[in-house]
Amino acid sequence: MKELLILSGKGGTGKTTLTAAFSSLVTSRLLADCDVDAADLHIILRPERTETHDFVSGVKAMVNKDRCTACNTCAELCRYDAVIMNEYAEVDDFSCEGCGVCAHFCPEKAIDLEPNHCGYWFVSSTRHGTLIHAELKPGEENSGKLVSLVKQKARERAEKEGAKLILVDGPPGIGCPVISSFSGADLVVIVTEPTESGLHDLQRVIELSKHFKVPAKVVVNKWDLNREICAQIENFCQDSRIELAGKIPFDKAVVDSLVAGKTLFEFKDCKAAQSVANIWQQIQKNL
Amino acid sequence: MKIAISSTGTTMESNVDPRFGRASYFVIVDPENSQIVDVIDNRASQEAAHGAGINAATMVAQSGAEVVLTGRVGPKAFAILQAAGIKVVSEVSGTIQEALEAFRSGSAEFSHGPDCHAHTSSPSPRTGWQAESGQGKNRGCGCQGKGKGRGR
Amino acid sequence: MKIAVASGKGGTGKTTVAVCLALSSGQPVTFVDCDVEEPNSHIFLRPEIEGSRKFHLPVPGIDESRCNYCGKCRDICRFNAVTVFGKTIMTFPDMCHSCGGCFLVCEQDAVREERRNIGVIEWGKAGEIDFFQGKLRIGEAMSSPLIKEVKKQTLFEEKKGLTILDAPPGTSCPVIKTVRDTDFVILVTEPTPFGLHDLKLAASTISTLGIPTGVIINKSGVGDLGVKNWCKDQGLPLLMEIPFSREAASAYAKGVPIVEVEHGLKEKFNELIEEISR
Repeated sequence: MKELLILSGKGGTGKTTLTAAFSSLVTSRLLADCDVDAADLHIILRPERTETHDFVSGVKAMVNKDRCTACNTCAELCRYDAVIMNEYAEVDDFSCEGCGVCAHFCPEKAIDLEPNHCGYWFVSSTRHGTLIHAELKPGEENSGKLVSLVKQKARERAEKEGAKLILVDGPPGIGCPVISSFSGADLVVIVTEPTESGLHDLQRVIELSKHFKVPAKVVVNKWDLNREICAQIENFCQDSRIELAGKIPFDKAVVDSLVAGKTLFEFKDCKAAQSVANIWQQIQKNL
Repeated sequence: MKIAISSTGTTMESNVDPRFGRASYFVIVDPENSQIVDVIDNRASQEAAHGAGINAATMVAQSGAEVVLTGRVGPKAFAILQAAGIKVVSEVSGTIQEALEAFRSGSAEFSHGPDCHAHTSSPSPRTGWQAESGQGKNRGCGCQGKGKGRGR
Repeated sequence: MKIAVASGKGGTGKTTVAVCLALSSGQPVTFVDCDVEEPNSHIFLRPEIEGSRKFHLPVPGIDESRCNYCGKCRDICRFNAVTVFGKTIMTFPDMCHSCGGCFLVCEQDAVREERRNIGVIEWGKAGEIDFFQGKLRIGEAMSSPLIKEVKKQTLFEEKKGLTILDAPPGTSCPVIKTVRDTDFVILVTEPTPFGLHDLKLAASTISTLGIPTGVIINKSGVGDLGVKNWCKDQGLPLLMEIPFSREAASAYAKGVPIVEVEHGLKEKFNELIEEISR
């Protein structure tokens, strides 16, 4: 079983569109959506949920107002300014990090730490294979833990189904969730666009891939929107010995396929689809 | 002597859990008579957001084990095991029984560094992850494990 | 007037809108880039950085001559940043959330405060604009405290005039840290099903804070009417539509603010600021 991780650094470069397109090119595969902040894969794949599970991570402080004497100890000790003191202490869930200092030092033992139910994860079936995905409540943060969980469940499932490839739609950025997404990956495809910020983020993601010793390939999406920066990206890849898997031209059909809820290949034969097919040939060599 | 083996279950027939930090159990075995002398329940670690390896390594260190057999150990857990003077054999698979026999046959090699990367550390090309060997000032793996372990 | 510009997902044009607002206002402007993981607004505003300071979080350091290995620090720490076994104590500063529990709980006075650098705050001038940004160290996860600190640097509470904040993408804690205490939130989205999905998430997050909110559709003309219809249903004001144009895309790619190339756009943004301020 191989694991292909698709990353982008900066958001909006076409990572999810590409993941969905790949999923319609292979048969023995399973999908994992780790882009929990913008879990868009389901818009194209329209999954049917077969399993729903709670996702619990960390704890949050809860004040038992009957016991609270408003002594202000918790408010003074909380480094996150998460305690609002009125007639009794109240905890601002958005600020509480669940450190438990307030509960430990409360002289009235009026604060409990409750498991923080921060979202759900799902197993769904789609026309391009099983999808493992997740959803967070507002204000909750994607974390390495959730990414690890989604990937682990995907692996378990893939083993059961005998799937040969796991396609992982990775989280955006370069933070903790991205770092977690590298573990167990056989190849990372980095989707970028020819903008200064695209190049900037590409460099940071490549740095991570080298660090974690996961081979990387680069795809430049909408490459013809700025040939100059695209050339810079190509040079950068050459200098850092990272293979360019290919370039996708700007093509209105990409947005139209999205609106139609179809993958590029299901939509119509267009310039972008041809490039993606070629890119897939390149990627497959390493899987 | 005691050996700690990361395990998916609590018997000699259970499989070695490839994960160290998030292993379900640690089976503590006496290699002299192949008896299980203790079982550490580490299932709670699966709920931890971060730092499961630190917690697991601490429990193993407290168990008095001198050797760990497991799949992969992250840098922080490795730093702790090293500070506790515990030797690590990684890439171990099969059942607990098989792992123990392989170890007794002397074919195992001790690891000199962690096998995988921490999920929350700050990767920097300038700092390696390899734990420096030696007791005393264990600077961990470059991922800021600043133990001043005294070893044993 | 403090206006935060946010979006459910990256790449919708959040920074573009924030930069346009800053360049189109007739009044003195403060610009705060709170997207500390990927601060990109400097590419368009090209500020001259005049000053910077590193930002540190307090983390535990152990005075072993005082430590009796009682393990209280280990037991209170929910982030596994300290561990004790036998006569060994180890700290893992990159796990630490700086809650201060270990300092408070130690009876031996053996835990002293050390500092861990998580990033840098920079400020300067981009023409008439007072510019501030935070840059998180690569691989660092603690963006919220840095965002808080960047806002503090601007003397946020007392700030007069117009302040524009460029928020991180997404719907999580760092977004809330940015948007808090602002007077208005602009959500930027694209007219596609992806854009709509992410807009819904972002709008539900912001609504928990009770801050007036409006929507700007970027790259209009492509995609569908889903976003427009949804805004109408929800009673969310649609503030502006920025048509998709290859010129704008190519200006963006080169780091040129689109108000410089799109005729009449500056005036539209200026009117928008006036309208929001009323």
